[in-house]
Amino acid sequence: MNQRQAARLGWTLLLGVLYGWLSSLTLGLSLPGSSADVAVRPQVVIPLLGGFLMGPLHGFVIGCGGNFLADWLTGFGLAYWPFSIGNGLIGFLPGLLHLRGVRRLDNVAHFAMLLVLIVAGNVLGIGVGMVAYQATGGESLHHLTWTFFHPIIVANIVLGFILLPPLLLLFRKISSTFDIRLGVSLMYVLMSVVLAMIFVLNLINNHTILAELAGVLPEEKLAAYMEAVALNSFRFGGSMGIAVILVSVGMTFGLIQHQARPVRALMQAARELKEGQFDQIDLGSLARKQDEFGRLAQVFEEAVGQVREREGRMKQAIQELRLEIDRDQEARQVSEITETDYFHSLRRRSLELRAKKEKQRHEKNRHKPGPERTD
Amino acid sequence: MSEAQFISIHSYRGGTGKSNITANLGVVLASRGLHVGLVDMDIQSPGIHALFGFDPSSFEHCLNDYLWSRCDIDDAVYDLAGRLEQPSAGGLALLPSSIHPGDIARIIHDGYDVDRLNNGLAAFAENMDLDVLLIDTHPGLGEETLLSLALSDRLLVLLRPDRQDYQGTAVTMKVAAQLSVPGISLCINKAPSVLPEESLRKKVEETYGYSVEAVFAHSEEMMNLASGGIFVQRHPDHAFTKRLQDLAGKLFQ
Repeated sequence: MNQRQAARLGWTLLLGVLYGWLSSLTLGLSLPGSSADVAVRPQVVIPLLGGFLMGPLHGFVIGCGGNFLADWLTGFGLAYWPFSIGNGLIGFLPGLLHLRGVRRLDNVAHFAMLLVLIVAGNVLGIGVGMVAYQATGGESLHHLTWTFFHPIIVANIVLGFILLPPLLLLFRKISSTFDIRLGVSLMYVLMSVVLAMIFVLNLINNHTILAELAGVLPEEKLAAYMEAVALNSFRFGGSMGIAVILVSVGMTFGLIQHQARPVRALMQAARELKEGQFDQIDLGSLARKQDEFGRLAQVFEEAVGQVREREGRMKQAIQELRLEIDRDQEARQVSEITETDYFHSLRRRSLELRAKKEKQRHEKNRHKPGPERTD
Repeated sequence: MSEAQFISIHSYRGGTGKSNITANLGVVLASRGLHVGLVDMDIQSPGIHALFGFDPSSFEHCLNDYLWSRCDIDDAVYDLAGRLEQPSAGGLALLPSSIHPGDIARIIHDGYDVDRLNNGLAAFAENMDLDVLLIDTHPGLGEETLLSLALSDRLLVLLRPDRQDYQGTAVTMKVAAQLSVPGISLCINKAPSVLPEESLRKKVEETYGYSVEAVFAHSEEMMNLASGGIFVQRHPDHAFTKRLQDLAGKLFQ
């Protein structure tokens, strides 16, 4: 086992124990004003994170082992073992992204996939746990589904969605790209809207029930009625909220893909320009568009044309600059001129002339020692 | 009375911008307070007068008339002060060549008295109290060019980075050295703007063994602007003008 594997095993055990311990603590915690069955388990984010960071098997071990530990700590023993398997699956599915080589969320597609895997892990995990529990002699499937399965899945997913992004940020496993920022913000806005609507609708419902039925129904019955309405508001409103979030984040991905196409085309063109592969640069369809990207592409194409032309001229000029002089030919040409009688007499006279000038200059300097012109 | 410096501005090939640079350099030097003479020694294909807006027929006398003893040198010299767009601190005078085909044919055919030319240029310098005489030469290495070099205290060879100019320029430099021209240097004209200037300069200096005094970049803008009049006066802030001022500064500190 190398150091890296050892470290992962250590983290897995640590997170598993943490998950188990927190689960045993939050056993009695449920959504205020709702049925006691809607457990609030923010620690669900631990197997989700563990799976994404270290892979499906580590995620499974954290979820499954943690749940066994929680059951042992709370004295349930092995009675609910199918749900430990289910918790393992909750950690297993986000690990599939890790398995596909995604170590860090770099674009909104990764983020959308993670959200889908959180939903799938909870549906699968709690579903498998429930079916196995029922098969081993538990309560009826119908009862389990409506009182347990549905609300707990919604609660887990909502908490997973809310808590995972800040933790990923903490571990530097999410990039601050434009599309990720857009996708994550959109998710939080929608989540806030959904939760606020559920809360407000619940208040209105309770008010209506009290107004219509107070005094008509016995108080106990009234309380049970209100609880059932709250549970339904939460699980159905929450389910629809989750669906809306998945669709929206998915659409963000599509939108970004579409909007980023010209940017990618320009980036590719810039890369080809850098490599000097002028022939491969083709912004034709983009350059015909009338929007800002189209105009940018036109300018870019013009710039490419100019760079290309300049490079061509430079190459030609460098070719021209190959300053080669045929020295034999030069000597021949020089002697053709300097060996004529004309040249001989000219040279003689020019020497005389220069000597005369020099002499004049000397004389002047001697006779007129005044300041000379400095030109 | 100081001795005028004779500076030949030459290029082996035609069309390198020699007359343009000569005229503009003359104006820059004059604006620095020097008395500058320009002589069109490109007797076979004169042209520098056009840059100052002279109508060819406006010359009553020119260098040819002097060489044929038809006039004194002073009769063939034209003051350019009135033709500059801005007045200059110094002075600028032109000794033009005839553009009449008959005159050109005659001088090619009959030649001229070299001593008379020599004396004429000396008289031009003396009478006008010149500090510098810029000689616009004929391209190639014909007799007038050799004569110009023989009379010169300095030679500026314009090189255009162009294969056809390399060999001829090398020959020019060697011939000038044999004529003992005291100051020989190069200027690069119409340098392609895409080439790094320093590497071009270094390469040329290594190849020819002479220093490069200035590099003038080739630009379409320059070509379009240059067609009318004296560039440095119309475009005092242009890079070309700045380069010419640097060159003038190097020639006369």
